[in-house]
Amino acid sequence: MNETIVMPKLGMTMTEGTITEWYKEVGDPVEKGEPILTISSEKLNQDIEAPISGVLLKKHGEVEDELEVGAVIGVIGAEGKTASTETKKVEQPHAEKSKTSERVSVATVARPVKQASTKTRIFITPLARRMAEKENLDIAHIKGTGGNNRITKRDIERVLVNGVDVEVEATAERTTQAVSVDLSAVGEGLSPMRKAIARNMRGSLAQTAQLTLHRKVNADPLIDFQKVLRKEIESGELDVKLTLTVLIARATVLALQELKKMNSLYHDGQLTEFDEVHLGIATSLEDGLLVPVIKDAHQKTIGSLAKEMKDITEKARSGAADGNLLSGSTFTITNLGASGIEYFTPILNAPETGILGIGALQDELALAEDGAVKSVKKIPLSITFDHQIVDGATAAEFLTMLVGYIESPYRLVL
Amino acid sequence: MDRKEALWIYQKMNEIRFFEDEVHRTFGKGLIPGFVHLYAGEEAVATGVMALLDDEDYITSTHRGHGHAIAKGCDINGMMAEIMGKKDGLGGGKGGSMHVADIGKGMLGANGIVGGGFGLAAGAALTVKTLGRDNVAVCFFGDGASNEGVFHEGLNLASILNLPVIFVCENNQFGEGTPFRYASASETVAERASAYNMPGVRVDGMDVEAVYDATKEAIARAKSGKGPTLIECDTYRQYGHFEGDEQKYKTDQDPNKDRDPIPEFREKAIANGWMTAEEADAIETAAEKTIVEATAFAEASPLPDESALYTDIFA
Amino acid sequence: MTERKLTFMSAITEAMVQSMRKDETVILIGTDVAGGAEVDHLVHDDGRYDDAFGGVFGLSKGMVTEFGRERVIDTPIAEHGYFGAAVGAAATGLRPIAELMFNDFVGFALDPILNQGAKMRYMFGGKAKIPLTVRTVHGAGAGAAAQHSQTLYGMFGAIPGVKVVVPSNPYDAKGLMLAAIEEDNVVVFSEDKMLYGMKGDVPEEYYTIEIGKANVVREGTELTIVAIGKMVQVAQEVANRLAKGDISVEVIDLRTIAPWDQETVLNSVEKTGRLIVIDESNPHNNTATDIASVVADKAFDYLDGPIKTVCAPNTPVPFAANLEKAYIPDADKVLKVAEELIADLRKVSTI
Repeated sequence: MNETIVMPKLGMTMTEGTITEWYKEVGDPVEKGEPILTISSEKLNQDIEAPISGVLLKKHGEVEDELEVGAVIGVIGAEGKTASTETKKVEQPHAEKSKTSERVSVATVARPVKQASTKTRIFITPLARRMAEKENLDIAHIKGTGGNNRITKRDIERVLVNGVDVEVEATAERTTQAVSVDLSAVGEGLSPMRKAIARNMRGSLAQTAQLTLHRKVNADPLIDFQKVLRKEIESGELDVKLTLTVLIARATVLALQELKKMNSLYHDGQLTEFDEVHLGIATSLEDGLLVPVIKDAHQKTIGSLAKEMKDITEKARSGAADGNLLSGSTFTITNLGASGIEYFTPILNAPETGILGIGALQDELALAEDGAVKSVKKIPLSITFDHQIVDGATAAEFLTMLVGYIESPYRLVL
Repeated sequence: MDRKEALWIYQKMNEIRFFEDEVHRTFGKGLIPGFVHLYAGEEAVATGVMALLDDEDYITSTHRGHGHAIAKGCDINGMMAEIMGKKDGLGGGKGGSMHVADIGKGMLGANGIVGGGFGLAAGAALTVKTLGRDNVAVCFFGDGASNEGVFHEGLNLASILNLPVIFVCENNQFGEGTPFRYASASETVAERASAYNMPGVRVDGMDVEAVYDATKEAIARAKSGKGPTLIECDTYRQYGHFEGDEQKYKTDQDPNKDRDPIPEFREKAIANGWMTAEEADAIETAAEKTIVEATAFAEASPLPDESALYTDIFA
Repeated sequence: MTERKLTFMSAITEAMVQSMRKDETVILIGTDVAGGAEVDHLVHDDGRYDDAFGGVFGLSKGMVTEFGRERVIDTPIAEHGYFGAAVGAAATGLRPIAELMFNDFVGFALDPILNQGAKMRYMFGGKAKIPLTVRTVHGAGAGAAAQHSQTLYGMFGAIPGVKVVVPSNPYDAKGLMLAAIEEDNVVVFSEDKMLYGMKGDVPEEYYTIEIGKANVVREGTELTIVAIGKMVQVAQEVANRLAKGDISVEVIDLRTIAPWDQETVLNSVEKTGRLIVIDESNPHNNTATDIASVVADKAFDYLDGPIKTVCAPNTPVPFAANLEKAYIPDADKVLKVAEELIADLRKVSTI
């Protein structure tokens, strides 16, 4: 039988060795114990002796070749034999694994390009953060009373019972968390609500790149649809008012679900797109503005959207809105139609990416298909978007989608 | 020594030698993790002592412990598997060459710590004494360990408590790569026994009979309650300190360099009529077969289950 | 249960004596555990031995008289040697209690514990058991300075294969000592010398306390304090003082520092959300930092504030009384550290 000569392991740390000299040539007879070559490792030199007597049949390396420990250097066989492929690697029997070791594949997570982080850090304990997430509370509304002004469990519990801290101020402050400019002096000397609004607006303009697009949409089909639907809803004893705003809100929800880039928040250096739509409804008060939120607007029928819009705006106006109601929106609608305004440039409810402004219904003359002049109702729409996150084409696409729904309103219930 | 003991000794000497030569080859093939320290050349010490012990007697061993383990009756298949880090090893593959042990056979373990056995052997002897048993504990250690502080502590403690311990020094001339004559202020280890008020004898460690006779006397002394004995066996390490050692420190003048205890004992045993040449040949053949089978057993044994990492920490 | 007061040290003595009466393989070995070996006049009239010391703190006083010098064994001052013997004896059938007079001498005793006793079972594939109890003494406060006052149980606790118990009162001392002796493993039983005179109820009968289980000594809802050994008293004082401000503190006596009771500590932190660990060890790589790291990992979402540790400073133990007092954690230091954690509890009424 042939015997292989392998690169020996000369010490615990040796992993490879170099052939320094061959004393024998292929075909030379060798005696058991006779040195046939010498090898060196980093630190040591050693002669390799023939394990059996016979003939050197094959060399698997020349002088200065570097071989791994265990690699075959040569083959010795009884004279006349050939070097067969008896160079099988010595294999370790496998251990019975107690557990299948699974390689966890880590999906590459797309991250938004982080602009120079300018966020103001809110300190909150791990427990409080978890509770806030569960209760859907915006921590910017909550005053931290723990060490280092951390928000603690106590603070969350207090807010859940009493509503947000410092009432309106904190509510309106919700978007100031990511503001880079020093807003501490903004709104000084104003009422608490105005002060909060001042900070909110200045903060929004300071941290986003706002641009507004305008477009009119033919409202006649929507008005017809509204009349049909009103009968249905009002006969169903629902105490709701089916306004055009409600229908446009429904159109907005559907468009947002198709174009999720517009239904996104960018704060703390992170862009998050949402599947769910929580729709903020800007609501004017005697001396100010609040944005109550219709949670999970995408799951609501037109009827329940109408009812909820009525409820939340009434609550906001009566001062009954708590922090929960006033936070968590992903997109906002504001309507100045009642004041006869046509187009305007709404300011983003940061950190949202878009806000839709609805203007007053306009009577316009238009050419009918037969060339006759006719009167049509049109609604001016204004979309303000954060040019950091989306471009004009995307915002325009969003408006086009809205127009599609408004001009073919039966799609709103499909 | 009688014929039966001589046959046993010759068998164990051969098993040790074939075992160590095999481990040398296997290590060279890269099948053994870590360090190995080979006992070849010192067989007369382990077998000369162990011929007089039974399973109820204790030994503590050293990092060069394969010979002690084989002579103490440890399962050779289990030893080879242990050295290769396999599941069927004596320690389930969790100890390796330096920690081969079998407490059931009175083998308290090879030991990775030089000098680790002095206290352990004294403690085993304390058990024997406290429980009134008729046994001894043997502490094998090298000339290197004789310069550890705990050598002094162990011998002193065993002596003042009259513990039935036999301290057997295997003086193979080198502590790692440093000659004993350099590292020791005393010329012999044996002469240090006088400091601890116990007999100290130096014997030819290449001569099984000399080791055997000295041990026999020491056992008698220990069992009669007179306390420990120090036996220094003058021997030689055929391989290096560890595998991969170039052995640059060895010279042609080293004591015992050209001696081999196995042929020496073969000749003597035949001359004394303890065994015939045919019996000797048969023992050699059988011993080689035992080792070949052990290697096959070890190679076929699986690696330990991964769960074994976490077991056997606490009883 | 008999109502009976014993000191901490007498409770330990009683445990050793009861275990030696119960099990003849139990021996006590160490330097001067009796003292006066082979001194002719140290013999009672009835021929039984007397001791010179009975341990330097007198914990084993009288034991040589009852059990003889074969089972109460004085050793030379040679910790490496006799700890090796204790491990060897444990591996072969005895159940030794080996005394390391001060834990500061660990350097001389370490190899038999670290490399032999702690590892034999593992290296030998489960075929060995080492029923060894290492009794040792830690703690500052006695003016014994840098080499006799350290708190080193954490060093032992870092060794796989070694269990470490640190009793805080006489009742626990007896029950934990009896449990340690019953264990088939190396158990380091670390006694705070400043507790030796502490008195408490100790039943006369034989009883054990489970090793590896912490003791909730005071229930509370707002702050968890985990304390070790004599620091349990500090924790109790802190709890009393905070109770006056209506702050509810849960105090956990760790009892065993290796393996420490994660379940009890984590359950408490999940309830309170706040954690302080008091450990007289030097402040790094100790039991407190280990607890902090495990809690930060396993109870992160329950934390309502940072985890605080209160330890000795990173200095040797000083000699001068005022410096030594400044070295040892006390209630004032803990309260100062607690302030950040409980700020919201104090402010709540003002919001």
